[in-house]
Amino acid sequence: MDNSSVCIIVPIFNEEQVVRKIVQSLVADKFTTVIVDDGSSDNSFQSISDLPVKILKHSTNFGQGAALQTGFEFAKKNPNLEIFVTFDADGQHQIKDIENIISPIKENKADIVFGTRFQDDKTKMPFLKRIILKLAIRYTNLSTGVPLTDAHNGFRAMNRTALNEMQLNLNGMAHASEIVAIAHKADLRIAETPVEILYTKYSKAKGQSILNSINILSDLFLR
Amino acid sequence: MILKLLLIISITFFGFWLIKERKTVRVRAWQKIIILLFVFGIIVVTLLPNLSLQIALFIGLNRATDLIVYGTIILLLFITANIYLKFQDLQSQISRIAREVSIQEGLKNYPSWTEKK
Repeated sequence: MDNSSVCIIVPIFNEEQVVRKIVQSLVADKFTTVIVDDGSSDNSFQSISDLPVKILKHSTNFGQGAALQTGFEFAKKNPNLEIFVTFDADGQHQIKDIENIISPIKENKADIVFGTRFQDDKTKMPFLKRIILKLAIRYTNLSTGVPLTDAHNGFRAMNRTALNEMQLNLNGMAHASEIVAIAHKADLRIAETPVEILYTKYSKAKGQSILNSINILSDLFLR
Repeated sequence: MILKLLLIISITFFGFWLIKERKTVRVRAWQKIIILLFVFGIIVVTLLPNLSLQIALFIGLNRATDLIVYGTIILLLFITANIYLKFQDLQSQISRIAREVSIQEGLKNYPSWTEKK
């Protein structure tokens, strides 16, 4: 299997500073890349429009869950693709980890693989964030019954069986728990792979503030 | 006290049921019934002020005002939750339309996407 049958789905929202570099390296590794521009108001779209990637545009900002679902549905339509990876554009995810995260699927040991920050010590993260994430994992584990060590990481890989099950209804950030719940409900084989998350200054500024976890919780409960 | 507890529990469960099943015809009808009942209740209470005191005393509240305040707060929460959820549903419908548009656009821009190699 070559990299062109691996589809990297990258949701972006106002990432003009960083998106080009990341997309360039994905292209250099010959991955099939689908960018979902979730209504960016900056030049994210223009900054990558000359690269050999597929770009989908939302007319306005709906949230990462909505953007991923758009990517999923578009990717489904390409019969040559076998593995689908969700990847963040803010520089937190490392391209070198893609190989690790897709290997359980290549070996047909899993249908969906979640990247985890907590299986090794590579990822350094702020203390409060660690606490909140641990609580979030507790919640996801309790509500879905899947014992994962990190569920709120945007780095995941899945095969077509898993992709066909994905039907995200939560537009915002709560989709992370939703994906786990769907995987569990559909009886998919679930695996975890350690990945390194770099908390760069940019990604910290862009990423989820701790307060947003309250919004995520309310999305999960009130639906 | 037991009556109060029962009331709180049943209202909570009823509220959750209303939220969970909000798209069914039954619940949509119930929502209207509740609002009508409330309006009717207010009219009755205005005409027969003594009745509200009796109901309040029966439930275990000391004043009729408390009964009306609590009732109003519950109704307010109920309406707020309903509007919030309606809003969420609406947003998810809009995003589905936008998704369809962007996928169609994508298929138009990249005609070879669906071809088998």
